[in-house]
Amino acid sequence: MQKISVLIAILLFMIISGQAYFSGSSNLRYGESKSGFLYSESILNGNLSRGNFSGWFQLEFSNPPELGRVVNGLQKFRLEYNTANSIFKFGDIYEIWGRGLVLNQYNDQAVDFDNSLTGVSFRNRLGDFLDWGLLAGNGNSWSSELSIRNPPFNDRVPNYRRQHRVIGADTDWFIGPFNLGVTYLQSRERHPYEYPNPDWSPGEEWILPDTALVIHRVGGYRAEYLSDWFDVYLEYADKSTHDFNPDSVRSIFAGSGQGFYSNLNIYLGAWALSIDYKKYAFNISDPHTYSSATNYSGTIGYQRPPTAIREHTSRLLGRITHQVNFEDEVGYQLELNGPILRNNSLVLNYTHSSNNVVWSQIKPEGDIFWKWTKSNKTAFLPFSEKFAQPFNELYSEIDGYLLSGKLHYRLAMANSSAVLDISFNQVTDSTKFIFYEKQEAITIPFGIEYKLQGRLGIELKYEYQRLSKNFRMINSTIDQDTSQSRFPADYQYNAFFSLGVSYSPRWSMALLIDASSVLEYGVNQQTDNSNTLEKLVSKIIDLENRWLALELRWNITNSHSFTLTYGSQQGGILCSNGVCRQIDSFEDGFKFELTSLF
Amino acid sequence: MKKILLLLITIIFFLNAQETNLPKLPDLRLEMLDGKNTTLYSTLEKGPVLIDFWATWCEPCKKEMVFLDKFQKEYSDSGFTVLAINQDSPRSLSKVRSFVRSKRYSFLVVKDPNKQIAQKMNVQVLPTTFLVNSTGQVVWQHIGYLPGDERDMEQEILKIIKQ
Repeated sequence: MQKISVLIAILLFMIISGQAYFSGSSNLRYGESKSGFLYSESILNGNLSRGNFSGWFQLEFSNPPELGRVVNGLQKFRLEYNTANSIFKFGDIYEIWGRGLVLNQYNDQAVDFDNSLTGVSFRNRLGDFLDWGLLAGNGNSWSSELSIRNPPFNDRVPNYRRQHRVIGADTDWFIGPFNLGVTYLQSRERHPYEYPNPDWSPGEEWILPDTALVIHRVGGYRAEYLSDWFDVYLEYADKSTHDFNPDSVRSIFAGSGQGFYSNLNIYLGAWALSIDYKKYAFNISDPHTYSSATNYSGTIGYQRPPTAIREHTSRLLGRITHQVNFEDEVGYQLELNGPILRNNSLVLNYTHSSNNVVWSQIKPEGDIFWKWTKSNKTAFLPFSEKFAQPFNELYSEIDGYLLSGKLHYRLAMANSSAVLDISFNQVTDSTKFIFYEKQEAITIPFGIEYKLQGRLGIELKYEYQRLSKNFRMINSTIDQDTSQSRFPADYQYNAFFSLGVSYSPRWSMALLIDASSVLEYGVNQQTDNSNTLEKLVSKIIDLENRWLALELRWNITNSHSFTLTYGSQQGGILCSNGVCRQIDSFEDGFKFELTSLF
Repeated sequence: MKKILLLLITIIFFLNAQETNLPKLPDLRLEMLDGKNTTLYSTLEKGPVLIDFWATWCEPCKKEMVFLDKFQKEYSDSGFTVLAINQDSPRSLSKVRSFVRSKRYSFLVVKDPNKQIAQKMNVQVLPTTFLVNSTGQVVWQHIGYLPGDERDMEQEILKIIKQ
């Protein structure tokens, strides 16, 4: 409440004392389903400027939000002072240095990701030659951790918090077409860790009584060259981590890692070839070290480097998006992009990545346990060997306009495969025991949009996917070689269909049908087909494993948009900006959203 | 209580937000796709500007951009400029220049990888479009894109050019 009072006082002062400009936006979202999924989010953004001063604030009242913790009150604020060559910020800071190997801060409400710092930053430009900046602040990063028992894991609400105290500096030198940058960031962190509760009681078997104090230091170097027919970007980051708590009951540790990213674009007329290469080796850990809550040596929450994989717009491809491992991944992406015929264009994309090493297990003499070991070879290019968790995707897309620009079409095809998990790789001269999970998919998204007479338009989308997820096990001791599907059949066939009609600029309406031939074992996604829409349609088509929804959008004015969705939506993985979350299915309910600019 | 307060504030703004009472923009620092820096007000010196927020992963944005390019080509002689502010994060930033080049778009493209310009202009969804006169006053704004929206956009551009 104190923060709100200070903010209101500053805003009133700015408004009363002279010519201040105010603008804002609000976003109200509400959803309620029969399956118990309920959320209510209200976010109000305001921007105010007067002369060289400007301010931004965000009020949030979310109880509960769709994802994340309950928030009520002033969520963010920032005051800025700008001159022609300098900018000073105080409050919630979002900065990005280079392509984010050292620092990339942003807020993505859709997946509950926010890595801002509350503090100060200063940036100054000295002529055409040098641009430099400083940053200092405190921040919290939250995550949902399976290894934390109190409070227990929840896929909607994070249960684990790290606290950061960050300082950093960044410089950019401009020498003709070259841009060179040097960066340093230090984050002192507090990681609570748990151990068995001595006063063992139900529900409180584990407690978080102690704290690991960790210090990360990241240095970064980058270079960029831009020209008419090609551009190149290189960035390297070096990170070291130390435990600096002398009283800790844990053993002292130290770790280090590096990351490298490069991008080359070559332009030939309207054709462009883009090559991305990444080698992230910030914290190479064995396949059974999953938890970032107990593995302190990993990347810090402010490092969000490029993923170097294609960002898909297809709904079905979005659900099987490769989740990039920033700690340990090497790979490349090739993309060719250009026009074909008249008003048509083609995209060809190939992505290949894997761990930096191949993992295998050995049993030291006299030991009863198998131990994970890395291959000696460090990869420059990604492996295809399954115990390096390879990911491949070949994507092609053609889109364009036909019928004098009235018809827009898009047809794509993606062929992808990934080893999702490796559990055992125990091979000796006489025995073999291996166990891993592999996913393969073929996805074909297709869509057309036709402009009718006047302001009417119709849109049809259809996506098809054949997906397999198999556990493969070879055990020579019992002469077993099996492949067990995650589904009750060898393949899961998925389809997404939508038919929409729109009238510019006021409204649009779409019927959405999401269907799966079978459901994954252990995933609670059963639809009961009980919503009114499904009852109506069930008279025409079989609705087993189908989710139907009707979406209406009304642009009340050019500044206010209202969306109402009624029906059911399948759950699954929702990915945005490199962050993925498992979303529960939404059964027989409604959602509304009101977005306003003022 | 806080919920009710927020709802009330929203309703008040909602009712008061008339199309004739749109905000004036502050001067914004802009980093162009070719690495050069400029400001919003120096761009406005030439005449009105249409600011469009877009990303390579936003399908409606890409459909709208075909028309933005047409407007840039047709009305640039009248001092009109299209400023396309890209919202791709570093995740897909490397594809922006190749996308724009392959489509031969002639308008100016600005980088905003951590959405700081979008935040200053209160952008919530993509695409969002603002038409700004040479004093920095927003004269028209629009959320989203539906086929046919380009007609209204062109009418508004013609109106402001004639003024």
